[in-house]
Amino acid sequence: MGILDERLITKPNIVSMTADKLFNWSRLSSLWMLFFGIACCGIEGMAAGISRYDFDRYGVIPRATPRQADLIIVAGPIVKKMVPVIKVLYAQMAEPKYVISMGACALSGGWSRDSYNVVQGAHKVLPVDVHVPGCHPRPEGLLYGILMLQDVIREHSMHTPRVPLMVPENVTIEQIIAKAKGEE
Amino acid sequence: MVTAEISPDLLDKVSARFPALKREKQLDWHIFIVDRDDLLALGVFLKSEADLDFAFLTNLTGVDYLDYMEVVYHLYSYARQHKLCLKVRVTRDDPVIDSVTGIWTTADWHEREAYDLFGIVFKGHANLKRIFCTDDFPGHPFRRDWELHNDEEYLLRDVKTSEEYGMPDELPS
Repeated sequence: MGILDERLITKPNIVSMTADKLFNWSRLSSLWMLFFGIACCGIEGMAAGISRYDFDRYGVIPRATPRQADLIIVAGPIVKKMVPVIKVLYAQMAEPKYVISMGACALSGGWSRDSYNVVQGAHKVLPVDVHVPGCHPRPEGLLYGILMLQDVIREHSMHTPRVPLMVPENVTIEQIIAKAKGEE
Repeated sequence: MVTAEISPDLLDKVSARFPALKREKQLDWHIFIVDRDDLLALGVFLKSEADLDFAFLTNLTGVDYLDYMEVVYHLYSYARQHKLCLKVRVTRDDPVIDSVTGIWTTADWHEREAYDLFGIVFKGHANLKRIFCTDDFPGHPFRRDWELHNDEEYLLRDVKTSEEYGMPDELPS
């Protein structure tokens, strides 16, 4: 089994990479999400979900329960009493699970920086994959973050660890279109 | 909420009953500075008199002026459609005041808030415990001399372990 282990499990090979590709494609194409809108970013997230921006077309469908979700979007400041709640929600999600932190508060505390009651960023509580900065980010920013997360998943392999990414500032619709087409 | 200014006759009537009250006016608010020993008697009087009829406590909050602390009561009468403000001053060393929950039930959570954020103790309150902060919070954050700081150890302190949540021990940053 030593040779098989080495060839098929510990190193990338044709079997594992093909499996990765298939799994990644299916995962990134149906990112069902749990939208955890704690504050004003929640409104922008709703705007991203409805007809003008409509992220349903990327397979991002809002779910009412963490049991059905692959992705949790933390949109707002996390206060002390919210920490256990958010941990429970994350623990209830099925693997593989992804986290997007949305807005300045979830990135670093935002205007609640050095507050006595606000955790200084979602990355202190959850393993964040993509940060969407801005106060608050426009729906374009969130859409771009979801496309970046799809890139993360596309590169994901059982042999490499995940690293967090940051959405660039002032994303435009044109950039999103270019990214969705794979031109960027 | 339609609001007519409270008539001077009514203010005089209150002053005649409680001569120790000091009267002030800011914008359209008539304010009584109340001694804390008079508060309950005054509250009962304001609520029970038919022409005053202050049945509704709109707001109750604490204020910290560094020299002293203050509890502010905003009263409104639905029947008479007039409003009144009471201010009770207490020292920082002895911030104890009578609870008005017996007169206006709505004061329950408001007084818990003032206790939580300013450390003002409401004597006679049935359930005086913190309402926003957790019970292990050190001090009262809205006091001016409370030094603002972010205590990560306190914020992330949890009775459960990472394994119980199914979380990795160390998060990638």
